[in-house]
Amino acid sequence: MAISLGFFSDAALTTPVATLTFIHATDDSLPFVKQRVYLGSPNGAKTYQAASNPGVDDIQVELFDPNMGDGFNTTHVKLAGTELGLDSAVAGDPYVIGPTINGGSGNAEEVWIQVIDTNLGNGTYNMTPRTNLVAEF
Amino acid sequence: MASDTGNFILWGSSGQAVAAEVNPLSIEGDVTLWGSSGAGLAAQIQPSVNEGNITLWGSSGVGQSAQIVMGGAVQGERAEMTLALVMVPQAEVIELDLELHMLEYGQVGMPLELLVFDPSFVNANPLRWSVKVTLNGVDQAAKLVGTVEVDAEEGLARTATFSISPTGSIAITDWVGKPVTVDFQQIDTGGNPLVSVRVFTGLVDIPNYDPTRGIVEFNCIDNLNGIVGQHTRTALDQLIQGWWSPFVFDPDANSLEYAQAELSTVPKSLDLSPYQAPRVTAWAAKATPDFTFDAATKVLHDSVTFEMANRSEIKNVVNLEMQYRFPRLRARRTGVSWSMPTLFSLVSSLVDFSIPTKSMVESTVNGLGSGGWHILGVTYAEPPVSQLVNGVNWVCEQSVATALAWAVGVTIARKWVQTVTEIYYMKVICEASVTQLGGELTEDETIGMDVDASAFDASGWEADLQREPTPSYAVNVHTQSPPWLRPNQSETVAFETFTEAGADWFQDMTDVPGFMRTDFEYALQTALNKAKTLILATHRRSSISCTVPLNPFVDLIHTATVSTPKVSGKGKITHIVYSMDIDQGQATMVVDIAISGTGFVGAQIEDPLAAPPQPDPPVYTPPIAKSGETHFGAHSTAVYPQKDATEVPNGYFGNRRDTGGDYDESKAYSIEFRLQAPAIADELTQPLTIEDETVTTTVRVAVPEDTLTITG
Repeated sequence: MAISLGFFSDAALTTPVATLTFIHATDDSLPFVKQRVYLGSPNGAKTYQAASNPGVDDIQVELFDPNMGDGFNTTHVKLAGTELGLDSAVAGDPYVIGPTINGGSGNAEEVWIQVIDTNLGNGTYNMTPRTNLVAEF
Repeated sequence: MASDTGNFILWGSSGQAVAAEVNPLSIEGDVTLWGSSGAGLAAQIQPSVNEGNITLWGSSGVGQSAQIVMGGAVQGERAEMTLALVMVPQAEVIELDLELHMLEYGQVGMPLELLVFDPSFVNANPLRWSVKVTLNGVDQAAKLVGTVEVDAEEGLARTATFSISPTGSIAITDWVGKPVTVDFQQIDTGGNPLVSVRVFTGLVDIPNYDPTRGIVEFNCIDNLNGIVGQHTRTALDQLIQGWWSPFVFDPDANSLEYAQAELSTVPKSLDLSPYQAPRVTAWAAKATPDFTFDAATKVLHDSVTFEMANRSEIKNVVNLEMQYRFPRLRARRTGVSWSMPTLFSLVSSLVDFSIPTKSMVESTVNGLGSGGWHILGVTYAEPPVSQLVNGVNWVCEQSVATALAWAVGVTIARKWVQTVTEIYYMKVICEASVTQLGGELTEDETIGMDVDASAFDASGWEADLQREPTPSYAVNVHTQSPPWLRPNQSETVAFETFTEAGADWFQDMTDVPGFMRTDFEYALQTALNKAKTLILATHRRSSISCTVPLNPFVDLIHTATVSTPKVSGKGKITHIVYSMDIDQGQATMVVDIAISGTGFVGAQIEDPLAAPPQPDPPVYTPPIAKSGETHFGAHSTAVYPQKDATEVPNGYFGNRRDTGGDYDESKAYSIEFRLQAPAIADELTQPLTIEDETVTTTVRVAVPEDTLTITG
């Protein structure tokens, strides 16, 4: 059975993110939109910690490139905890949340994501923002 | 792997090695490994957390080994520890006590999809496009007819309509509530999609069947209300980041009503993205527009319109009256007293006179306990015993004096509750609009906050002097409190007035959870923000509309500039109608942008939305209590009325008992002793309203001025 931690499109943690879609124009005529998702669990009885060393190591959101070599790299994506944080975030770096995420909608962690200039051609590209290995307590 | 707590036991048999590998994330207790002689025992345990002691028992004769690997089970560093076993003769058991917590763990992620397209395709001539509509997950391409239309409007549910030409039997009710998606696609010459952009995600609201044409028309919604309605108030607060107070809005509101109320306090709109995700967008236009609609983007001829806001719908002033009603607890300690005149003066004018008995005085004193007063202490003085006074032989035996009262002092206290209403008047105004539109266009609102009467037992508090909150001075003092014996009057005794009772004590019940002054101030700021938002909302009702070739990337979150020879302006997009006519091959959209402004040229002042200061605390020092008087009747000069009269002072009404020169029996009083607690002024007991209608706090609001140019 999978853990109930997940990415949601709403702070109430009712709508899991199916696919987070960004749209870019080849001439950069569209703004590099910032999107917000919520990392958390609707199960208020659970807590989550990094499996590598629970309670000590940080939970973080990192980028996984499933199609390396297609031109769309982790360095094209910024992660942050706030919209303003994206301005200073380094593309490709993980976003560190902290040692523990408590379950329940009131404890949802905001994760802001922005895809920056890619110079890519027409096409559909994929990336997977994901957590490190997390244990459910 | 389910979470589990229990004993983990490995069994091995003679002659065979025992080998096991478990990968728990934490170990807190007992794990037992059983091995037999003659065989090696090997176990590998990889806990991420080890909270217990691990013991291995091995037997002689065969070397046993166990490896406990500390550290991450999948990733990360490993810290290895090899245990040396204690070999016990004849023992054939290796025992390791551990308890396992079998935890769920994993990584969670989400697919991120980046669509990159050449934007020139929306201006391609001819633009090769198609629309993909799925109904309950099934592509309806082969059945679509007519026009697919998606209507997205700021703050409202996004709708979509499309029609299909079905075949076979139709179970039309089965479609209700089924998921629907609409994607606008760029296609190549072979009809293959190059880019697919979502413009609608929702569900079927009403399917209508037209038997004449054999067409089913689907009316779909994005279920904005349903999705918002599933949110908790906390989630909505995080999403909207506005203001909400139960004293401004309906405390019993459901989630949807709650969201609408909170949205009325911030210049933002809530709607769903094309993917049905809730989002909140600020009304303010961006400095740089996301899109520009001009000749280059082929604004359709004669499609540009400008609609001016109706003056009657504009509000540039909101008058707020805010009331805060709470109990004010009050307490007073004072006293009542009476004494005979000095014996010297009495024997100088009277030969014989009546003196009240203690029992007479006591019955009167006990009556003071009515009317809310509490008796804290009573002190009596008895008449002087026999002595020579000013040449007169005063006769009063001690046995007689004991039963009589020459003076009495009573310390009393009272607690009472007064209802106080603070009223604040505030005026939220956009001065630029008032100037530009030639006057104030007002909206009035009154909000009130009453401290819940059930939160405090007023009558119980009044009846019990010891019940908290208690006055800051002691009200239950029986000694060392007023009255004090009058000093330096050795020939008699009397009492001073109660000069040290001091000012009244008070405490406002503004600390009841949910009704605290901070709650009122939050409600006040909520009302101020609501007023400001109303002013901003009514000043962005002018709009420019144009029809352009459909660009599916244009959304309600964007700012656009419309630039045409007659009308130009920049503002946030408030309404888009995407229209994809399959039969005609035409894909257009009608875009509305809001133009915020007053037309005022120059800087506007924006004041902080702060609560006004609260009134000064009350100070009230009651007048000093007056000592009771003594009057004798049966005397020619007696003036006080007889019994049953009401306007008589406190004190003793007696009669002279000798029949000397000016004796007048017709003026004899009915002997009585009166003591009444001092009255408390009505202003301290009646409901109090603290207001000053002449003082109105003015808060100025600046309305954003969006670009607008109209050329004749």
